[in-house]
Amino acid sequence: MSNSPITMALAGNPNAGKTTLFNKLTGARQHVGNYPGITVDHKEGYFNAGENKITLTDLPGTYSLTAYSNEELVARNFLTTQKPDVVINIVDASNLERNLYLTTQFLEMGVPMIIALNMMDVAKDRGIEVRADKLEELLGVAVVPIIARTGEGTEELIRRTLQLATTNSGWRPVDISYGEDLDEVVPELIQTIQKASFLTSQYPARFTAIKYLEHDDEMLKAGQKSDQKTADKLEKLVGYVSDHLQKTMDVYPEAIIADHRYGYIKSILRQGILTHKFDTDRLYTSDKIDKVLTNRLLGPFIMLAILFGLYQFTFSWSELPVTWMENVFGWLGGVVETNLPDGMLKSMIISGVIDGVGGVLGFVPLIMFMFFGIAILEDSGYLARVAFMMDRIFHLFGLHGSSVMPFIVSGGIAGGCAVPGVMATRTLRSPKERMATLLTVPFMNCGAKVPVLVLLIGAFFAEHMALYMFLFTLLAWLVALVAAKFLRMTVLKGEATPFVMELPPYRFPTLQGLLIHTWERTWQYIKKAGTVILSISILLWALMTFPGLSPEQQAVYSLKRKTLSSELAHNSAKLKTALILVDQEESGAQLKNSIAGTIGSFFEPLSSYAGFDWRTNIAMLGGFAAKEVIISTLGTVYSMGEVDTKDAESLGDRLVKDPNWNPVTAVSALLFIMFYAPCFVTVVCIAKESSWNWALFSMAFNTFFAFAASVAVFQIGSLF
Amino acid sequence: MWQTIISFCIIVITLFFIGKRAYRQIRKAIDPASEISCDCGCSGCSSNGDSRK
Repeated sequence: MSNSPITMALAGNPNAGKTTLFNKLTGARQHVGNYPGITVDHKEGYFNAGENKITLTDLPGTYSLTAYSNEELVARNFLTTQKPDVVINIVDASNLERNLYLTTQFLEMGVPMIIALNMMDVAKDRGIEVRADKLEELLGVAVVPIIARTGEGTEELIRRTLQLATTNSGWRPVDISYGEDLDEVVPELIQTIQKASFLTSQYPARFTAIKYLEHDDEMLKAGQKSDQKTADKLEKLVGYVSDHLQKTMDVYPEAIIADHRYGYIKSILRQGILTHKFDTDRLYTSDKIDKVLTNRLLGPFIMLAILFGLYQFTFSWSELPVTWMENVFGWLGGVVETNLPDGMLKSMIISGVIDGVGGVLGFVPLIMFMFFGIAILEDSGYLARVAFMMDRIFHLFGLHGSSVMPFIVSGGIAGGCAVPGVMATRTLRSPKERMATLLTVPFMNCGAKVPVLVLLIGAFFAEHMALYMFLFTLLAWLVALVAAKFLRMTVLKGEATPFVMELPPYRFPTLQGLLIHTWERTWQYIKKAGTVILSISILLWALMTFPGLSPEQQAVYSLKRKTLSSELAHNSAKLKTALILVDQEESGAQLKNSIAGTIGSFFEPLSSYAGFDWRTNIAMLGGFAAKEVIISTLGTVYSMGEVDTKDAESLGDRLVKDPNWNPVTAVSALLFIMFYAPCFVTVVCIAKESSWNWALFSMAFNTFFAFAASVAVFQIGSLF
Repeated sequence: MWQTIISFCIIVITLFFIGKRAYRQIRKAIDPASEISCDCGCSGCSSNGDSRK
């Protein structure tokens, strides 16, 4: 052990026993004064532990580290300016929940900390048993039970404190989640702070970001004094998110943060930390609800029922509006067909834009209803309970309860996105658990895959749409978990880490909040359709148009028409039918001869094992850009192969009529779409969060797995 | 003829748009200081930088 002086600080709630312990350790070797400028006592003492001389500061009792009182400011400023080697956080074991609120703030700050779990005798008298070992495991910091009054446990406390002091592990802030809205803005704030080295000599960047969100006066003042430009930028960012929260949930960020801190504490305490010998019937409303909704036996069934109910609600209420949308685009196609002369632009607008993008936009009503349902689950706080309940199951597959939220965000309930899901894995402490989660979240049914699934399920399994959607959602979870288990048993072997997850109190969602959240996501869907999907559809239309048929090939069809016209001149009805068939044959040949058709045909010998023809191949290739492109590409492909667009059918109807498509092909395609390579942006995100090797692995592994599954299903299904 | 010209113009603009977007995403992947933000356009995000501003 080092002989240099070691500085320690005692911190905790008032009446937790700090001064008792301080006096026990330092005895007469103490000095009491005042912090400059304020009437708060400054108590410092000395003691020896072996060969080590220790300076011990007894900080004022505080309930938190906000800027509401002098005591809190003193405690906070001491920690950030003096940077003691170790902070001993005295926690009253008989009042754990309240005391741990300050502890979470120390964790957020990342100070080197050890918890002295004091008043164990008082807790015992009240019939409260505290599992210090479990608490240590969950918090990730040393926890030592003591009775400061008698000195019991203090030797072990000093031994472990010295161990921590000499380890010199530095400040390691813990990432506590504050919910989706704040979790999105915190990285942006941190980036701004780090780029400008804004107060970074005093506070960790994340701590500064959180204090800005809490509208901490002292931090705001310090920020303005240090760097006004950056301070203004941070205040502006915080202002936006604050306004957004006001509109959607009628709360300020500091309330959300406090809720989630308490949720974090609750989640820890629920895991067998406390045992009450005497009946304590002091449950709050959220706890009462949780008793039912997260019940060990009932909870999972309720969860599945809610999920099924969500799909039932979505499909039944959106059926009519989706039909209206299809009719609108059908009418639009008819208007263009009638009013524009034949030519390239007409083909681009009808086949590329209307039948392409229209196919995606046609699902807007369905997407809206689905997002509305998900908003209810999110805003009420129920989704956090889903994560909590899934923890047990996730451990079986080598994953972690903290992996549940990235899965849900990626589309576990349907309608998410893998990009924030991948980024959400940052909260996972274990690198290997994080990698396993990161690589498997793309298996979820994101918001882009949902319309594709709905199209195929709606076309081939129309009678039980909600049931099939529900089953495919469960399948996505199963495959993701099995893949994770495989990775954790092979390339990503390692220990599991304990799970702590915030359980914020239930809220009654406001209608305004629900509508705003629904509209935000729906607008993203529409915006993407009008930008990314539209541009890719136009590009794919071009690839499906050029180079066109050669003059020799065109001459063949002209000759056919001439021959038919002379042979069937007496029968105009038969002639018309025959000419339409020739036109269709020519359109099909032109399509197959195009760049996209050539590429699709190239893969056909292989893809045919999974039941995919060259047109489906084009769609799957397009899906790499964005999964919705599968619909727009199928829409364009089938539109371009069509001659008479006046009687426009929905894409689903066209697929059903195509002899290359049947329910077995549909299931094969569904499996492939669900599991093959993630979209381009997700691949880039995986590369950023890990490496390009892992990103490429993700593409290759997912595609190989998806193809194998599709082939198996198609080959076996075709036998029946 | 005019339809062909307009179509080609649209294709060129489209290629430019796609190329610019792809370039931006790849640059974000390479630059360690930048974040892949939710303005990737994914419909699963509840908000993006634009909606907050």
